[in-house]
Amino acid sequence: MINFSYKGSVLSEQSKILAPEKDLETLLDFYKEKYKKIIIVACSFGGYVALNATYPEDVVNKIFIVSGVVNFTSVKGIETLPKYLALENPFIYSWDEKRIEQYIETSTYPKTLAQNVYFFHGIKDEQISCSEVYRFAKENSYSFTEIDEGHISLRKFCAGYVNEFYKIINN
Amino acid sequence: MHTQEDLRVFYTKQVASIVRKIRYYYQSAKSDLIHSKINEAKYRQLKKRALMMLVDFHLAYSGEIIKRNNTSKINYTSKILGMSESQISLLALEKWEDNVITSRDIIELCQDIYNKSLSMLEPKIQKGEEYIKGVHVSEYKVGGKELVIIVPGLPHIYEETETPLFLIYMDMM
Repeated sequence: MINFSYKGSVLSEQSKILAPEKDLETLLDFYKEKYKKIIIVACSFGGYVALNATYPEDVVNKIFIVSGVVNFTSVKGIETLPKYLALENPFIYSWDEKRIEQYIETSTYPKTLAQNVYFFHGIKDEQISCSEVYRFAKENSYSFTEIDEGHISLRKFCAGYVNEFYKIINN
Repeated sequence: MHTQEDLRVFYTKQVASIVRKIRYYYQSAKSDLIHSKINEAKYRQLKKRALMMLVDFHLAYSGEIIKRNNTSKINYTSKILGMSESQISLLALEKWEDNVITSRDIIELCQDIYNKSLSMLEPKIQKGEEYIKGVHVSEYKVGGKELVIIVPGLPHIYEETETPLFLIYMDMM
């Protein structure tokens, strides 16, 4: 199991440009020869990244998304994110505010759709509309499970729904 | 049944996690001060961050969980880190006093805790971290047939980076 930080954030190399899908693709490219199967577990913003990345053929087995974004236009308060990241936390994120805005404004629904996607989303999520994610999942015949939560972090999800998580990861 | 080797690996992973957390507190403290001057509320917030760094260091160093209001343990930990009496008294102040504590004092204190903690803890960390084309990766239990990649949210939430440790601890992975 690995986790990583996007280039331009936390411990990764500094960058003015936000291109998280490329970071994920870099890792997939690096690990694809070493593993027969790769499982993606994404949360919130990471959901959008996971849905928009390009996957090497027959390598990624499952994509598991908790509280995930499918399109930024439907995320409440998203317009405050660029300022929060670029101006209020300059030691954690090195992205240019305009580049973050551009990334969000040009977001669309994913076009190249991955296989075996499992959504878990809180019905009380006030940040990312549950109905929007449900609609997207159904249109693309993805598995969707509604949970009695708000916008839930991956860690909290794993703690509260550990059996569901275990089943999907291990089956 | 855990072997000594399992425990050693788990311990080093925990220390790695604590080092990342200390780093996060330090960066947050720096970010907090960049736009504003210190006042009572800011002092309390920064003092809390500095104390949390000490609490975390104490856990990694002694394996004991303490609360940040445990003055005797905090003082003990401060001494292990080689902090001066004036630095220790800075953390003991009940209230921020104008013209006594400046932003610089607090930042220097956090920086000192950060540098000293890292210099003591980093040699204990098993190398499970690497850079792949500039992307920082933390590896946990690698080497099986399957690889799980956690794709993080934004803003960065500290507890999310600890999900792998949680899953390993719960025997889920």
